[in-house]
Amino acid sequence: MVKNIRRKLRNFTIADVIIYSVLALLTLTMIIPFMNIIAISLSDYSSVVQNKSMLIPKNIHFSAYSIIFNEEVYRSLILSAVIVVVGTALHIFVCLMAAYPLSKKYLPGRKFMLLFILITMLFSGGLIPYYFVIKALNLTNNLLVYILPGAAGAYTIVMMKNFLLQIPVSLEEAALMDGANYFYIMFRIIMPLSKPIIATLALFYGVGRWNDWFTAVLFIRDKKLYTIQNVLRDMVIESNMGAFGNVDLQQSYSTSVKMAAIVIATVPIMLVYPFLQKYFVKGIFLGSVKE
Amino acid sequence: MRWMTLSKGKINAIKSSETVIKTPFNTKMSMMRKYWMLYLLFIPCAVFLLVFNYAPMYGVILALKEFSPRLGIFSSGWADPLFVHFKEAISNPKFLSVTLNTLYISLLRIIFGFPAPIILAVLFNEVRHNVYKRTIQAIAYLPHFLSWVILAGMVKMIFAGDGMINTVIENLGLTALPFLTQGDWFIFTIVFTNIWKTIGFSTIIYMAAIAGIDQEQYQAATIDGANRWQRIKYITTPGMGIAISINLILTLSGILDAGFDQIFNLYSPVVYEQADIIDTYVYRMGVVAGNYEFSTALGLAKSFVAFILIVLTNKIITKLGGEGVW
Repeated sequence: MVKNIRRKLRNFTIADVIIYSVLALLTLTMIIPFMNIIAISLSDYSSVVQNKSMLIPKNIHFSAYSIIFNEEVYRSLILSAVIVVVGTALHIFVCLMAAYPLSKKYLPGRKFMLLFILITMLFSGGLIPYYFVIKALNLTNNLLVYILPGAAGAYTIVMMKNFLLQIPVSLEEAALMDGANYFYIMFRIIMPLSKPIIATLALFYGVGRWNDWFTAVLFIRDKKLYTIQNVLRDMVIESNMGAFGNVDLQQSYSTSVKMAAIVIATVPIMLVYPFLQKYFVKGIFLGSVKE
Repeated sequence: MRWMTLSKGKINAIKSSETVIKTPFNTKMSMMRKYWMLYLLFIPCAVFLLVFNYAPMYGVILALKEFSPRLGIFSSGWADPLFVHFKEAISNPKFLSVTLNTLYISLLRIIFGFPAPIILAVLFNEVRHNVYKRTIQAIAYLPHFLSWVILAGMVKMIFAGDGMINTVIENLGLTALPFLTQGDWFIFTIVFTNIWKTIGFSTIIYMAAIAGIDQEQYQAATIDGANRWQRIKYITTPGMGIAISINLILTLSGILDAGFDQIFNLYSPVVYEQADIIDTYVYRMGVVAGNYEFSTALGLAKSFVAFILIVLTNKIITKLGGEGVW
């Protein structure tokens, strides 16, 4: 082991030093902003104002966090979690049910069904007509607006269809021989076999749901129905639209509290990060499999 | 004996699965009856797409109407002349200015943001210590997963007049820079922070291309006396060739998207003149100001150009030997 390291170090050239340092520097630009945010969230008011707490918190106390964990933030966090879970479950369910018939090459009308889905990838009505459709459906100020519009998604369906095409037909034939119907096959045979793709696509979609803030900007007026992203937006973005982009202007919350809010909204992503990394990287390659 | 008929259908189907089905019409009908369950599975998705995707597509006729909130889109009267809102949109001086802003910001994003992950992927590939490499990759991917609301909050904090960066600048004896409040600096800030957000994760596609390069090429080149720079230049870079060209074309086809999420969360009226892009303008004119027909027309004009760009893109990618988008 030690020998190994020594050998590696001996082969360390100037070029290596440069490459390793450039990468280390890049990493620092990724870490420092987060350190800054955390440091400010943990510091007291005077050291924040005097910029004494750039990377390491001064006079540590958690009062910002006790302020931030108020009813509003608590509720929005739970709401966001519910939206992610329910929304993702529905999305995966609807898309898998659509992808399954599309993976049957013998199905009459399959080409048309595929086209029906692909068209939604190419065209969109744009913001204003979409806005009116949601309004006409009475989904404004309604929690369903977070869940229903994204229930079917062309991208997920195409990915799933490509995956299902790789499942050997013989499995299904055997089940059909035994008198099973397509519902049974889909839920009992296809779904368990599709676990890897379901995990990947659920993560893709779930992160998108968690990060979605525009839906509420467009359609939610009642602040009790805000997700964590929108509560955060209200606190951090909307409140400092001051003329100088200066954070200390016209604030209702102190800087520390705002930064604590950012930390709180980041934590859930950090918790699932190991999974994200594993499956997202895989997911990118899934895209390259085509029929 | 239902299973028998089913499996017979299956056998026929498998026989013809790889070719286009050219069965007679009544056979087709009987097959459709046989597979009714499969069609049933498709229905929920079809309903959702019809309501949330196709209905808005039909709604674009709003651009040709004189909208009355009382009547709704469908019963409102036609505009006279029909294309008056398009004319309005195009002759509006703001149209030219937001389009130019969009193109300017997009081009800067492409010029500086496109090569960055390619260079980073090459650097990653040169790292021989796997733990070091994996740690840096894990950290560099992180910003990709955070929303622009979170990141804009951080950017506003760090780039503010009294933020971390300006504190450092002032400690160096220089004057603070108006990163968020002056047009040119604002554009610098959004281009820079966008690269920061995307650089890590965008390397994945290039890392995949590099992973596909035959390692023997490197060994052979080393034996022939190629140095590291030559190996990068003649093996690694050409190995990424197709990935680079496809990615570039895809990026170019999205040139009218200058990053709504980012700009919307970061801009303020003082930088509207330079930072207002088509998407933000459509939002403010439509949703905020209630100028529905005008902003629908503007949005439609944008999607039309975007559609042409995507079709062209797909043609070019297929010509290059890559697989098309559809």
